[in-house]
Amino acid sequence: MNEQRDPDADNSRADSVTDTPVLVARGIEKRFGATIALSNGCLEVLPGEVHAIVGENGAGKSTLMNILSGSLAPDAGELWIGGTRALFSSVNDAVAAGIGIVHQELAICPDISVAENMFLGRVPTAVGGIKFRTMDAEAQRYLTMFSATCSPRDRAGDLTIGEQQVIEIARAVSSDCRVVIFDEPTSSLSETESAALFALIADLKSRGIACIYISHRLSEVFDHCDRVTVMRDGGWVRTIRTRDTSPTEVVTAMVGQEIAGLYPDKASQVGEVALEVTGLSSAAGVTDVSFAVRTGEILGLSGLVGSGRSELARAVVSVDKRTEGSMRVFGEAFAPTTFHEAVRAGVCYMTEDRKRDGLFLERSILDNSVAAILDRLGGAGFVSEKRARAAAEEFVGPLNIKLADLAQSISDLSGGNQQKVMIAKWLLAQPRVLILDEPTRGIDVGAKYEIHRLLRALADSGLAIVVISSELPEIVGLSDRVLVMREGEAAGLLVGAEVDESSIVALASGAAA
Amino acid sequence: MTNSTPAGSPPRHTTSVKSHLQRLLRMNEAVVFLVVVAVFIALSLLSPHFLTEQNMRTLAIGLAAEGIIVVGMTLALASGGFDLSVGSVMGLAAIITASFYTGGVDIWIAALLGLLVGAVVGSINGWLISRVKINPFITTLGMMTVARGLIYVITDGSSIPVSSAPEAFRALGTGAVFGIPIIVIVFAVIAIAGDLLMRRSAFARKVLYIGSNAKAAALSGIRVPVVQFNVYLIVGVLAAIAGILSLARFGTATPSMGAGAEMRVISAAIIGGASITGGAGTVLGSVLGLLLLSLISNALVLLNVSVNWQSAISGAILIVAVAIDTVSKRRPRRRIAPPHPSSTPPTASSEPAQSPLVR
Repeated sequence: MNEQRDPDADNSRADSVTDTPVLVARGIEKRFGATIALSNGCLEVLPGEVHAIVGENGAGKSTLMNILSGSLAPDAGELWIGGTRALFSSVNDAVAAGIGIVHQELAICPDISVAENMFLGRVPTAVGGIKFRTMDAEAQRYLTMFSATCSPRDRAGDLTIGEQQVIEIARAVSSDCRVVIFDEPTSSLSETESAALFALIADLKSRGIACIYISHRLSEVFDHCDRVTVMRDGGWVRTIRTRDTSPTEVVTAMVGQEIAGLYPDKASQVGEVALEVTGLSSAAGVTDVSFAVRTGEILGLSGLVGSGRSELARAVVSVDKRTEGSMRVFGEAFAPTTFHEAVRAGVCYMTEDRKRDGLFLERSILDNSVAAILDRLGGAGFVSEKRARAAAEEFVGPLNIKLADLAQSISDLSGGNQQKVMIAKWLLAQPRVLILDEPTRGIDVGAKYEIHRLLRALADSGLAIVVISSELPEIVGLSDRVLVMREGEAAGLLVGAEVDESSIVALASGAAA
Repeated sequence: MTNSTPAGSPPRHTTSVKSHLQRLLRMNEAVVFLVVVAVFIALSLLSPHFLTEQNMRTLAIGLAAEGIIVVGMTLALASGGFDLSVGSVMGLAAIITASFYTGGVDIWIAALLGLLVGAVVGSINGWLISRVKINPFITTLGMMTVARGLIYVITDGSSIPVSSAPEAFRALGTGAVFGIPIIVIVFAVIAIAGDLLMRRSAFARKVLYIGSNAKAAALSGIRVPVVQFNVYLIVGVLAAIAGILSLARFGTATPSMGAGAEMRVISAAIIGGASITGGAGTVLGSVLGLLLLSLISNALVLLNVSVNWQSAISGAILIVAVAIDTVSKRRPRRRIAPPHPSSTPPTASSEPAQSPLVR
């Protein structure tokens, strides 16, 4: 492997590219107060290359990207664009130099037109007002470029997320664009929308535009990127061609130490049936689904976006209304009418959207972790601060939650640690069946690895676990059995050695029928 | 490794005393308390009539009724809502009590019926907000108008005197125990109980969680509709108590009783640190906020400033208080690393090491 300290001297290149680097960053440093966010940010990007950047949260990826895109000024280091030294003092400088960034969160104003969204902040004007015709024509050029079918005058809120992303990209890409940075673009996209995005990236690549691609999904890195730069603790670790390396090797470089396989071992033995669902239908579109999960096993719930995975779980725990079907928990009839009753019966559900409906972002870690057990923290309707603290502390260690103080705000934690607090919240509720919706969405590889091991350990200790995930490798790596959903119905159940990505895709798409 | 303590900073125990002090000062109550104390001292120096027993008593009695309501309003604000109908409910409870009494019903039973009206109005508010899911602004704005309208329907615009009521009832508003007015004692008991419950009870915790993120609260197994219903029920009952005590105090139920109370009470709670978007607020803070507003009104009287200035000044205080709060919270986002390697909580050693930077 080529592992030089200076990425400039790295001769490994994607076959399709032979030019001199379009972007070079060397020894970039950035501090926030006493915290060093970036100590040695190095990057070399070639024209027409798709260059992945991976690293755990806190590795400095976002800081480096913010410096490259002009929204942060570096404390030290050099930045070269196309052979000239660059000094950005604003995002506009970066755009003028040909660097655009597509942010993770789509920032679309839903009630104004596609064209106005694209030119937000730089609407072409003349005396007397906006030059709508010029703007629409320009917008149409981008839409055609990315083969989007919508019109520049459509209301932006009516577009699919994929089409909205075109707006974001159009904003980032100026006419003489040379580098486009994608910051975790697929975390909110469906499989089809992701495919469209990758087609778009391939299109940029074919025009000689370089793409910097940040993702926590290693499968995407290996499928779509030419080279990958690994960062750790604010510094450059290595840059390597994806075809010369392996996921395990990349993760090892990110984490900084050997890891034993990406996924934990499967269940050695499973016990009695913990939750049995028969003929379940719901108002949200689930139709006649039956399944069971046993103690000691992890049941994966897979399917395309909109196939009814989450809806199935939400109907089981009465977040959505059930219209038909019966359920049993450890042999006893289980018919909750509210989520509260489901939790009391020991069937807990962890929501997929951590920020929107999982966390109390203004409250402390302690408050977040005891949210489900307020009634058990003292007698006569009172909450004992001491007991709350003791309860929460019970899980800080075993879950390896990195925090300074339980009283600190939950929003100070990284996504991975926030996710662990959510898991702790449900473990405190002493579940008998734990349903986790996207337990590792948007968190870094190291934290993912820990959560996978944690879930397996919980299953081994006798908990029945259901994991819903849109990431196929996760479902395959983690599940003992996989229930695949399609259009609200159970498309099939895969057991043991049958569990692989192609079988799941075949069932999910209906190709197996 | 990270060092959040800059070189040359004092030893750790001093820092922790300092940080305690900082934490105390960061509490909204502390700031309002200091302002209240400052105004108090200023007034005692400016006017010889301020620090007299008579003035103190007037101040306390004047504060009591709205003080009872502000306890409930704090809860409503903490839940992410508010109740605009409190002033009207206060008036309606007094009118109902007075008209039952003049209709020949025993005053205590009449008062109980007044309380019941508060509970009914509160329940309707609670039901509409928690189950029908109409937003609190529309619901309680409507209820405010409906209740005030009912007052005029019942009274036809005239006051109902209860001066003939038994002395025991009138004593609720005019009597004193050990020199302390009974109405003030009732307020103090409700405020202290309210403050303790707000800080310690599981119910109030749930209210705060709902105010922070109602969806997350529901998905933590908290019965959001039940809690919300109870909040508005409590607010309604407290407003009715305030109305009945005011009836006992003035000896007459006027159709305009409680008019505008909702705005003063909401302003007071917000000055005291409650948030209009929910998830924050303490009874202590709200009561201090109300005390501040009362001191200002008192000052205008004592300093011979036209009372017409009162509402302008109260409004300005509200805006200044919220502005100070907003600006002081607009600090750069802290990136907290463990303060010192040794103070990192023990973690399972078998897990892979992670970056020391906790983002």
